[in-house]
Amino acid sequence: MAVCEALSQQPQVSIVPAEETTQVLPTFEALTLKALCGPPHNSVIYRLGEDYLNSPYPNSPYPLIYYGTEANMNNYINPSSGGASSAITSIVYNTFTGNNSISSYSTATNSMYVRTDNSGNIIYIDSIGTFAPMSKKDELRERIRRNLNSGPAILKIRAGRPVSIEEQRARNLLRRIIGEREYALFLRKGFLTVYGKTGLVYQIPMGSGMIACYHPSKKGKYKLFQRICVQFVDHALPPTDALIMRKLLIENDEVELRKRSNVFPGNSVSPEERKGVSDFLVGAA
Amino acid sequence: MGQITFLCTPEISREVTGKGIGGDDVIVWDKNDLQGIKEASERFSKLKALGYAAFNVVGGKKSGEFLKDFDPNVEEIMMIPATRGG
Repeated sequence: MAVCEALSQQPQVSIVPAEETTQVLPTFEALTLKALCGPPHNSVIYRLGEDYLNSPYPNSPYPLIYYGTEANMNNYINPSSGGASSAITSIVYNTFTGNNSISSYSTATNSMYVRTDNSGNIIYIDSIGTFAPMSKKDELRERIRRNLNSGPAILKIRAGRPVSIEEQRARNLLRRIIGEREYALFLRKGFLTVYGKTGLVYQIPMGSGMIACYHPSKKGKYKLFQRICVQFVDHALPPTDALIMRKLLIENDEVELRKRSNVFPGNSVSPEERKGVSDFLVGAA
Repeated sequence: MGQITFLCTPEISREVTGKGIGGDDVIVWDKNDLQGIKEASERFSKLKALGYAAFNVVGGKKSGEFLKDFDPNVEEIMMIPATRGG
């Protein structure tokens, strides 16, 4: 319930200096959670329409996709109460740059836009076009699935907390690096899965938690091989930046990662298997 | 066009690019602009001096390899600050 209440907070449509911003921004995560959690205030979020002309990616097939409540929809599709064309000319607020001018389309990437229509209602605009509200059936299925598998999803932990502009930028960068599909999975699971060149599989949690390194056994199951702890020397960096750093280190050089880290043995691998993997890592170096 | 994306605090961003933003900042250069390449190379060196590690990013997604020196032909370089065992 608290999550839904946090999400129901309407975003402020105003220009805020980027360096000083510490507020709850209407993020992609919030919209995703809204779809998973169910719309607040018994309102249904509709997919209103697509706009290819104003897309921030003019040479790509990605349109702007507008979402809104029933009141937004009436305004959007009914010419007698404003109509689509007049709605499009209203305010657009870019959550990434803090810019509310229409020209922000040309410079922004991976941003979520928020717009008010002529009646002052908030309309969400997804510049990528991957978010779509679920049907009632899918929503119920998703709720059952989440109840059965209540993993440490980041959204549950962090929903309602203020997100600094640095953290928001870091999340946008992560989203760009790993892609929409992986990012949605990351939000749901609360960790990122990265496959090393050596065949080991790593689970990177959000924030400063340790990396869990898994080794595939002969039976095809994955066993916890090591726990790896690496962090920035400067603690002022946002938690998602720490996640990006660990992903880059794993993908590039797993041996170098271990040189930079404190490594703790896992408890589900036999000494023989551990020696085998250690030899393998030395060989890979 | 080439780009360096580096994870930073506002202080580092201000020191290297003069922007003062946190989370991540970018340095962009045009492969045909020698002056731009020189500036990007200097900023790369400055970041390396601050303890940053550089990676060549392949296809905008997967990271390829560690970079010791600045290469203007690389499409995107990602740089991370100094790390230590936790």
